[in-house]
Amino acid sequence: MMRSTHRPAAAAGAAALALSLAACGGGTGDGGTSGGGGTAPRLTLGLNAAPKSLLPTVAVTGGSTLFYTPVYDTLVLLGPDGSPQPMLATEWKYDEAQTVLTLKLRTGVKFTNGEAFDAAAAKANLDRSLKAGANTQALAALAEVAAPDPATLVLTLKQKDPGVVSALGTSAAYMQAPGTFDKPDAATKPVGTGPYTLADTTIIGSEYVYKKNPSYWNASAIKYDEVALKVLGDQNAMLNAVKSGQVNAIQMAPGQKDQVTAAGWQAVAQEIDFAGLFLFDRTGKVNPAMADKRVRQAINLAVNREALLKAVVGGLGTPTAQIFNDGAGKSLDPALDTQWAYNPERAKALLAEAGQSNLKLVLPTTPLAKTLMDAVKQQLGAVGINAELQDAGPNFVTDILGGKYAASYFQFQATDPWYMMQFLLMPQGAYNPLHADDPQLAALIDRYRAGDAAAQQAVLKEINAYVTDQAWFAPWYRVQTVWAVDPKTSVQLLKGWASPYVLSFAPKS
Amino acid sequence: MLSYRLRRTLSGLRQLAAATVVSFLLLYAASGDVARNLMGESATREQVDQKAAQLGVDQPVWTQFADWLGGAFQGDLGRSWFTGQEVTEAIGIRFPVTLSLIVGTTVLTALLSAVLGVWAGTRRGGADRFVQVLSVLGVALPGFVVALVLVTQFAIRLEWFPATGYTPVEVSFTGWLKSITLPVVALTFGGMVFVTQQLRGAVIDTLRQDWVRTLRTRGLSSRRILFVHVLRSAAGPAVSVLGLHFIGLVGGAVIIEQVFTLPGLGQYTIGATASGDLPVVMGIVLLTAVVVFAANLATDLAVGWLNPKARRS
Repeated sequence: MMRSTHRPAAAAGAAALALSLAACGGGTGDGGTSGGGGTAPRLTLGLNAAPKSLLPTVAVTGGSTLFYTPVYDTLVLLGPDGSPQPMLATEWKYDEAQTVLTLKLRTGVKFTNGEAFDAAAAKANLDRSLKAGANTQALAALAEVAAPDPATLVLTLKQKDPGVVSALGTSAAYMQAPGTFDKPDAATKPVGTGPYTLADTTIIGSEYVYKKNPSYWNASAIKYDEVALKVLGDQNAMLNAVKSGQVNAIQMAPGQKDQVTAAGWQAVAQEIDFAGLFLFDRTGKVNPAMADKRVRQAINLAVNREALLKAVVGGLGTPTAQIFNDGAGKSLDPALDTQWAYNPERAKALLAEAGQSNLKLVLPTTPLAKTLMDAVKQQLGAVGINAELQDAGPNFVTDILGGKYAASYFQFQATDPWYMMQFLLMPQGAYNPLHADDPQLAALIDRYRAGDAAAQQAVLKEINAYVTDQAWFAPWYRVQTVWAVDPKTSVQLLKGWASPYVLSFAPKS
Repeated sequence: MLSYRLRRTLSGLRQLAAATVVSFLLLYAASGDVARNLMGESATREQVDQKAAQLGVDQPVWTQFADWLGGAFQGDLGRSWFTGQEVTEAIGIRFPVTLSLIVGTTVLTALLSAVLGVWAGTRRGGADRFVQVLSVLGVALPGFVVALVLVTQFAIRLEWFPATGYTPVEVSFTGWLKSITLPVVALTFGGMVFVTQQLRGAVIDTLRQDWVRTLRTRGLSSRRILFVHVLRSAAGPAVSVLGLHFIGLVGGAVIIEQVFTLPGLGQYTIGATASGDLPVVMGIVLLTAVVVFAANLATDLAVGWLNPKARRS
């Protein structure tokens, strides 16, 4: 299945405050297990896939955060509740117009190759992220980055932007030693200021071994001398590794929950991603019928979300018709979950009203999503929508982002509302490939951008209701992301994030 | 014998050239927008085009092939487009894993097949029926099922072997032996069937030959007739099948590598092919072609030594 990789990975090498709390605080609320305070020689995690590269310029979301954050620190740390906390930047403040952000940087920090971390190094990293790579959109609000002195970084924004500080805690702000930017082995011998360094025993793509950085600026946050990330793509191998005690924690497939807990492990879940059809063609550029919101609403009404959820992910999720959540994986507006509840008769009526009783809709698919898409095709067919599935193969993402299709299946990490607006709703958003521009929605987004926290929360609900009513998407359900840990290990999950940090794990005392 | 070797070498080089050209063209045709995959979904078209130019994928296919070939002749297989790792380094790490598997499996297959094939072919009766039943099981049970049974019993229940992972031989010999034992046994279970059957049949046929009867009348011991004369005559077809089995394992060990999460070439190849990482795939193709060529040559030479008539074919 295709899953979102748009979201810059939450970062953090050393979470001084958050991790101290995680390690010592015992209970960790919704998404965590009880913590421990000791240290241990080795932590081994079983993960589904490895990132394409360890270069910050291609760093993306999900489980891959775990591969980067041992090596790269970020300027701020996104804490367990998602709020920015000090990291390489110790404090920050906006000017009155909230278009100039001044950050004070931690002094005395060095990259593991001996280079000094200072404002010039931070500027070099942000400038590079702005110019190229997977994170340009995350920093799109920046007009200029300045380093007036070694401990001060000044970011000038094009306009007020509620997401900039949070972006400094993501892969957009992974701090790599500037002297290694152009080195050919920068991706295999990554150099940052983080708590670990990549060991020579690493087998890229299979097993990543990290050794403790002895001169880390926050040594007390390091709980393991060595961390190994084993890529166990095969689900049986994952279970075998659990049963034989070869790993301490895994990112788990939904169907494994019973077997993993039977082995004495603890499973903790969050609903982060939403899956569904992205109805890109809101202006009818590719398929003119899609410009009619009744057609898009009919597509929403045609799908039996409960049945799909049960068939595809074993029921581990929540059916919904909205794309936003409350930041903790719960419905932002519970009423909207059922706004487009399965109603094939009403779908047929809407299509007839729109004069599209024999609508043809081309949907891209991949071999992995074939079973799911066959079920969707069948359900759409039941209301008279003739869905033609086209195997897009390796071009799936390129094709959908290139605007080739009027609609497509996708699974997307729905965490930060502002990022979602930037990527999904704004005319230049990567996941708005046909550049739909709705003045009413644009005005709402502007109000969100300009408002304070309370106003933003209110406007977000309006945006959510509007997008759901206009059926810009046909979401089916939010999917559970599950982590499981053995009895010797504790983990602090980050609210709304698919992956914890390496420093979020601790041995139980 | 010299001209025989020369002919085989030239034939192997032709196959090597054909394999690289065809693989390159297939990859070129099947790969998607690599630069887009590399740059991420939010990169602009200009950034993607810039990356494509940097990789050289904006060039005509023959220019790209010539560039790759020029580097390969100088021992430079380039770097992975995605991980940035040198292809020779990546292969150097992973090849020993796959080689451990296929050599271990071939040796175990040869030993077990020799014992079972000769036993069934000479004793017949109950021994033969036992080998036949074993053969049916070997064909019927897929390797990954055998692997899962082995893991459950010997790794999880008895904890004799690790369930997943690989220990390099330079780190620990016993660790290495433990990490490859179950995968090798799983691969051998199915593979030995064909070699055993081949040898069994050949032994039965050979034992019926007139010259064997002549040897018996001359007073040679049964043991000497079997191990010195019959086995040499009967081993040719079995060695050919063993050679094919070895070659099949180069690509066929993928599932077992996956079940045991061994960092061999199999998973690496699948990942590189899926992402369109052309330098990596071409490096693996080149290595595989060389291994196949060497295996074929060794098999031909072994068969030629066992049966001098084969040298004239």
